[in-house]
Amino acid sequence: MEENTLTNNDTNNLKFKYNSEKQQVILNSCISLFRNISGYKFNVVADKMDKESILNLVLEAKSQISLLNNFNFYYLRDIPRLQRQLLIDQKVILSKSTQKISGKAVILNSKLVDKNKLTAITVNEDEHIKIECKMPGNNIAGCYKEVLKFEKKLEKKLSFSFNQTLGYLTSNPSLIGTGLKASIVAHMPSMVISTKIVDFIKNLNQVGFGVNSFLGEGNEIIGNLFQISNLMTLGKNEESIIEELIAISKNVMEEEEKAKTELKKSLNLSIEDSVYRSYGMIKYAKILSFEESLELLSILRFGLDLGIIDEIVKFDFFELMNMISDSNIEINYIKNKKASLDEIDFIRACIIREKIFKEYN
Amino acid sequence: MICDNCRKNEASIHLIQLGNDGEVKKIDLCKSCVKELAFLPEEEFSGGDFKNSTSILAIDLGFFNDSESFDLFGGLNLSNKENRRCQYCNISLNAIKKLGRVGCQRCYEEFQEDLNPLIKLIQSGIEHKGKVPINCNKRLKIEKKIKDLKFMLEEQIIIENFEEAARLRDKITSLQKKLHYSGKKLRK
Repeated sequence: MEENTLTNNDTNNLKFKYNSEKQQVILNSCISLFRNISGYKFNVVADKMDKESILNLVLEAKSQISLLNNFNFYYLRDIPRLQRQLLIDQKVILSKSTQKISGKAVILNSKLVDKNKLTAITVNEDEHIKIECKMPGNNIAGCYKEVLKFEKKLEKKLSFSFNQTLGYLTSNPSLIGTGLKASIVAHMPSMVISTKIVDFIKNLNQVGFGVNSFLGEGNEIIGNLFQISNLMTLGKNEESIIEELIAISKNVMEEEEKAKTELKKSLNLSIEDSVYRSYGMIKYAKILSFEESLELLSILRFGLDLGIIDEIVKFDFFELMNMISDSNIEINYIKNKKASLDEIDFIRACIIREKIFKEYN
Repeated sequence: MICDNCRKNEASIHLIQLGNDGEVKKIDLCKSCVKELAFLPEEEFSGGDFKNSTSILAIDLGFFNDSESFDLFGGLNLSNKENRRCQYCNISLNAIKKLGRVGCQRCYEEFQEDLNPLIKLIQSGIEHKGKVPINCNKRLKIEKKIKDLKFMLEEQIIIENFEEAARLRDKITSLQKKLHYSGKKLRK
C-alpha cells in the first residue's frame, strides 16, 4: 500500500498521512444499453397507442422474467413529483421526461436503497428501452455484467430492432450498433486548477470519448465533476468499448494524481487560501445552495487529498452529493412538508457540517 | 465572428482542429461551409487526407450538447428532397434533420444514402461488430418474408386484385405478430 507522505512542507505544518487508496477520482460508473422493439415506430413519431403497446409488451415480458421479480414497474405519471425529481437528480430518468410523462415507465428494484448498484429499465424515453446500471467508484466491467444479465433475459421475450450491418437500431444515429453508452464520473480538481484538463479533454475526444460537465448545463462545470463517455457505438464491439473506458479511467486517475503531485510541489498561498476559504464557508454559512456546496466540497476534498487541511473527516464526495440534492432533502429530512428554498438550503448546510466536521462524529 | 472558410457569413459553429504534431487550431465556420465539409466526396472519406477533417467534427461532437448536435444534421444536404417521407412511419427527411432522430428502424433503409455519410462521420465504422440477438437469424428470415410479402401486396394493389391483396395483408399481420413474440415462440 502506497502512502503519500508530505515532505518539505514546513510552511504547511502537515502531520497528516494519507492513504492513496482512499483518494477518490472516479466517483461513479454507469452502463446504458439502448434497445427498441422491432416492428414499432421509434418514440419520436410514436403515438399514444404505439407507446401503450410498448408498455404492455415490456410489462408482459417483465412478468415472465424471474430476475425481475424484485423489481416494480412504475408508470411515470404515478410517481409523486418529489420522488420523480429524486430519480432525475440521480440521473435515472431524463429531466425532460417529466415534461411529457404519459406513456413512460421505469422498472426499479423495490429495494432502491442498495448502495452498491442501481439498476433501472426505463421504457419509452428517447428509445423504447434503456437498461442501465450505476455503481459507485470505478466498476465499469461490473456494470456491464449486470446490464447484460437483464438484456439477455429481455431479448428472449422481446424482439429488438436489429440490422446485420448497423446492429441494434435506435432513433438516435449516434447510438446504433452496440447501443452501448459507458460512462464514468470523474472528480478532477487538480487537473482543473492546473488547467491541464483542456488538453486532456482534447486527447480524449481524439480517441472517441466525450467529456461533459456532470451536473452543469452546457459548458458550465460544477464541482470539478466530469462525465466521460464513448461517442461511438458502431464499428467497435462492446468489449472494446468497455476496455477502452477502463484504460481511460486508469489514465484519469494517473493524470489527476500527477497534477496533484505537481501542485503539491509548488504549493502556493492562493491554493491554500481557497481551501481554507471553502472551509470557512462550509463551517459558518447558514444557507448553502446545491451548486455552491459542490464547489466548496470539491475544493475541500482536494485540500484533504493534498494534505493542506486535516480538520475535517475524509468524506465520500459522491455519497454526500446525493444526500444534499434538493429532492433528497425534501424527501428524507423535511418529510414531504412544503419547504421554502431557504429552508432547504439551511438544512443542506447542516447536513454537510454534520458529515464533515470531526466534532460531530 | 466571420466564417474562416468563406469569409462572408457569420460563423455559428466553432471547431477545434488537432494537428498531428499536437498543434491546436480553432476554426469558425458558418452553417453552409460545415455542410460542404460534411459532404466531401466518397473517396475522401476513406483517404488519409480526410482523417484530419473527420477528427475535427468528431472532436466537436464531444463538446456538443443535444441542441447543438442537431446542427450537424443541418449539414445534411437535403434541399431538393426534404419532403420525402419514410413509407413506414411517414417521417420526412426534413423532420429527421430537425429532430436529429429517425422515426423507425426502416428509416435506415429508406434514407440509406442520406444517413450513411452521417453515420460514417459520427461513428467509428459502418459495420456492426458487437453482439447479435440470440434469436437473430430466424427473425431476420421472418423480416425478409414480410418485406417480400409487402412487395407482392403492392403489386396486387396496382393490378387491383384486392382479394389476393387482403390475403397477403393478413399474412403480413400474422407474421408481424409472430415477429414480436418470436423470442418466446422460438425458445419452446
